[in-house]
Amino acid sequence: MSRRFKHLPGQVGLCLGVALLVLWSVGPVYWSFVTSITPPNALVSDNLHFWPQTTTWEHYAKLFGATSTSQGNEVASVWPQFSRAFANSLITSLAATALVVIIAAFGAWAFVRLEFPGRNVLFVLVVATLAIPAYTVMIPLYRLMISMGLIDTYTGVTLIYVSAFLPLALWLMRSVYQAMPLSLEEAAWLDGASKLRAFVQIVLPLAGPGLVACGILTFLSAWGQFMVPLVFSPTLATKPLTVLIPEFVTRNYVDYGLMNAAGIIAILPPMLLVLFLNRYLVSGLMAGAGK
Amino acid sequence: MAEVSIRDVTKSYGTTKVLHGVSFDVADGEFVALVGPSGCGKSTLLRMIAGLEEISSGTVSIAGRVVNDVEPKQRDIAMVFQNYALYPHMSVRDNMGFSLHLRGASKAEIAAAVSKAAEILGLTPYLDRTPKQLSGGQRQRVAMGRAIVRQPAVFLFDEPLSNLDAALRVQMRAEIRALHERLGSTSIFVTHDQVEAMTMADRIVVMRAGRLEQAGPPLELYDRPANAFVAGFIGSPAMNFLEAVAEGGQVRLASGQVLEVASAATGAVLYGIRPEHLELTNPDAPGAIVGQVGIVESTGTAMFVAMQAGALTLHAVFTDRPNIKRGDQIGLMPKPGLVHLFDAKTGLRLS
Repeated sequence: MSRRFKHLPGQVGLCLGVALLVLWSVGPVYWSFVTSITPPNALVSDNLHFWPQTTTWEHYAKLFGATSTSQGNEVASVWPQFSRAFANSLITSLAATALVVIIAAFGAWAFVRLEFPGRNVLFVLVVATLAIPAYTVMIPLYRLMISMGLIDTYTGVTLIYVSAFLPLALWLMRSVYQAMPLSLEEAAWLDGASKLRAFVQIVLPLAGPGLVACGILTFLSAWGQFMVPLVFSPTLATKPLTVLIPEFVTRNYVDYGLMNAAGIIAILPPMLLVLFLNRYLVSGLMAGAGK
Repeated sequence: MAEVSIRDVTKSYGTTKVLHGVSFDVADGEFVALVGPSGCGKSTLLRMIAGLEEISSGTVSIAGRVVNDVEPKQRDIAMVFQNYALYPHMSVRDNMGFSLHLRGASKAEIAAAVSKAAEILGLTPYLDRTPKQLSGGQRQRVAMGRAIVRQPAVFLFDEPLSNLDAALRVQMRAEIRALHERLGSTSIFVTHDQVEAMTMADRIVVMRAGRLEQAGPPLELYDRPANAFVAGFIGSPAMNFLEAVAEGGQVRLASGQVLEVASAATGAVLYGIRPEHLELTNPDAPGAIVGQVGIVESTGTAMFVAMQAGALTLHAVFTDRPNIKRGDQIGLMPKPGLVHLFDAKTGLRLS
């Protein structure tokens, strides 16, 4: 075998693996998009097409329209519900993300740089909560939330998200800070900075990529939450898209087109966020600090 | 400008004691090098002067004020770190101006101080670069610049040259020394490299295992080392030590050979002679230590010879390129008056 083909089997395997992964992750999104532009009657036909023979924007019109038709009858528009749920999703996810990033930024630094008794035990306890399945705490949590009057409030849902996603963010930020040389902070102290000032002006800017990663992870997790809001957001006061969209299933009719149109719209915010923040996920910020 | 005074300073981590009561003074404007092998506590001591480590007992005073409980930022010191610790997200200009900015200096003051320091260090063309766009030597200079802009009372250097290549190290050595002479500031320089200490310092403090072994001007340490450790640590290549028994102005080596010494010491001693204080002679010259030439290394300026005399190995340095090669039978004659005798047990200097 010549040298050129020596790595051929490996490369073919790699391509195959990549193709599978892409199919696995993009496939459902593609199918959702195709469904959202297929006329309703074609959706239930026997012949499946990878690209619809006729395309239509009627599902989107139904979603955004002031009035709506369903199976030939004029029905109430879903826009008020949809827009409300969209706002709810955005508010709870953004609030949780902001809180988690801020708390993790300071908390993880305390776990790395401040000496206090039980520091490591406490940290392990916090991270260990990641291993507890959400279902096991659902009932006690529900009673707790009722007693505090936090059911169906932004505060309640956001607090649950923060408690669920903070441990991972703390863990991530701790390793970010651990990788940072202490001498940078020491240099700032000798330059005349207080501990807080050295943290805010020297450490935080360098921890930027870690904070962005925490933000992305938290936002995506919160945006995709279903179980928690299903239980804690019973009305449109706080109900997010993930809970609203499945409700487009009615007793007599499953509106696949509408559900998938709504799903495609629901994908946009996290996609835009990742595209926007991706450029801050640069590595090598620390280059030049040392030799 | 300030003097620094270290009094009976100890440091313990839990039950482990790493500094066992160290005392010395640094006069105003003096350049003192702290040297010793790795783990001798010299960096810990420097960090205690800086306020980055707690002082377990004893006192550190700067300009007559005990600073044990004073925050680093209030000690009026600047430190150059071994890894430079430049702020990677700031330009060279901002790195150097950060301390003045924190002290609330005006923009004009900062700009003036930074450009003056940059000029001294040859950094003017690089002020707008970030540290990662600089070479190792330039980063080293920025670290120095950050220290000098605000004219602190004391400069601390924590092995600042150990990351540089050999040629650059020699150059920076001279530059730091020149800078010190220009600024006249009190400086404490930690290094494990005795050549750095010898060439730069007004005074050297030699430490070992958390204890001060000897403090004094470089040549004094070289000429009259207080003990065998200092004698072996200062000078390169290191001093030869021969086990011997002294009696009545003579020492008897383990090989049975008897050498004359100008000392009335008696008992078990270490006979120390520096490689550069051995003269090449014929094997049959009286008083010479005789052996066979082993390894010969030549650097052009000097020739390093290891001579095997029975179980002993003696190192010698010649600058006149004698014509000898491996296997030759030679004699080495200690230059009179340059022999050091140390107590074999305590290692302390005799005579």
